[in-house]
Amino acid sequence: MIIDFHAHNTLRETDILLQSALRNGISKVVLLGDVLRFGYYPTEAQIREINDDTIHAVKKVPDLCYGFCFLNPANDPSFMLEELDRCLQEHAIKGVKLEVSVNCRDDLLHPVMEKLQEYNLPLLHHCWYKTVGKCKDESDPSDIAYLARLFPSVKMVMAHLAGCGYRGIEDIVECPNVYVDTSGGQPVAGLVEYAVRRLGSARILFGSDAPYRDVTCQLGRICRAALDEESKDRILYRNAKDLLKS
Amino acid sequence: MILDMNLSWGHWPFQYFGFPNLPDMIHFLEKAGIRGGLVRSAEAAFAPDLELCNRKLFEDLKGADAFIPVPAVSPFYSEWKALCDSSKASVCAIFPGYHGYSVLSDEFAALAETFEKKNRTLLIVVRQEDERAQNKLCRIPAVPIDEINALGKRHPGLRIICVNCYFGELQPLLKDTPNIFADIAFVETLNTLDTVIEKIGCQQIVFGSHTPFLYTEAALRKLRDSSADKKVMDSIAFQNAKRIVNYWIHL
Repeated sequence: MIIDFHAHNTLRETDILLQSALRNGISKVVLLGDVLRFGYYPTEAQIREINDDTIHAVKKVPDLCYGFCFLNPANDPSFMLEELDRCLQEHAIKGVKLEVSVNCRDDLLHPVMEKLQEYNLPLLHHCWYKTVGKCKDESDPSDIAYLARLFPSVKMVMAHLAGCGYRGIEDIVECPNVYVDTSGGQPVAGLVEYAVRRLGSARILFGSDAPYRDVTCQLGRICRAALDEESKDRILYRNAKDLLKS
Repeated sequence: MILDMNLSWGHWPFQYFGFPNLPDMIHFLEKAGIRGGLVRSAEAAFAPDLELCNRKLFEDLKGADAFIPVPAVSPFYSEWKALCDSSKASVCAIFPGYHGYSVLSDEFAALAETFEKKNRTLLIVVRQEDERAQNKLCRIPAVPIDEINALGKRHPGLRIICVNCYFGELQPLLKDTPNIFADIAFVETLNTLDTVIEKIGCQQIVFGSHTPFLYTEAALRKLRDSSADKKVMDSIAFQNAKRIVNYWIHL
């Protein structure tokens, strides 16, 4: 059994993505929304449209998909919380996804973090240590660690292991509420093993970042990593199952 | 059968490789179904003495049969002239980003011309790493794709294999240049190979895994996941490689 914790439903490619997932033995896909469809700073109406698409995609194949509610913390806080409640009422949503519109050290995230704490839902946050091409408010692993320490009871998923790299793994070692997903960048050899060594296999989740990435190729970095079967099972399935249940 | 056009060996300052020695890596590749390939020196990107790098590579690969050492050359090291006359080097690797020149520069022109005349193949290392993940103090630019395309047009008889291009770079790289080929190690999109075959075709695409930098399995799975017919898959897995490089006749 495999759960893909990091995929995006885009307008044209969701069906192809899900076919690819099934072909590769993936039994559940977490759809995070078409988060860059309107650029880095989506308006409230655009946020609602993206979430409507996610809810629709999940309702179409509920046995195969979970959805996350996409938010922009720069929007009005009351809208943000209403939107989260609206998505939760649809029973399709299992957590919140944040991208690059606000750096996660900003107090603007606090209302949503408090809500996640209250509802016991996870946050999946984009993250990368970039040498070039960093967006203005993009969060890096040290930012994620900062937020995780402020809200230690909220489970957070730091996206993009390959983008976070060795230093990013170190940043979250002492933040037990932070997981990392394996998506993003090239399948750099040795990084998954390093993450297991430093974080333990219980804090790592398989993610593909499809359709921007290839599901089968992203699975390759787990399947042939030098790990025992127990660790692979945790990364590919059990950790995600536990996190989505909580 | 699979032939891998994108293999490296040696030390790399930013990553520990998972193989204790070269025979172990080759054994691993063979077990994965990779019967041969082109192996270049990872160290050649930074080492001041390319001749020593190349000598080490040839020594390490002695007896490796179908895994062919690809010496590194640079227009700034005159060794390329001797290598060009040697039967040991029908393919040579260049690292323009690391060695600091343009493939359209005057310095490079003589090398390109000689390679074309002597029917040699040039392997261009477009990048070794994702630029976003490079060490902040060691930012090496990728080789500009439009310059490689222009080089291919300027020397239509020169065979060029480009390794580590992104999906979005394939079209501008291969457009109107049947003498340029690209590997699949860094190429990634949804249903990678089927998409590449649909948009680019299979004649200029070769298999490459960028082992030991990347997990070999990631590239292998791109092949396995494709729905293309056997003839198309064979061309990417090994037939194009055989046609370009003219090794592996015995395989």
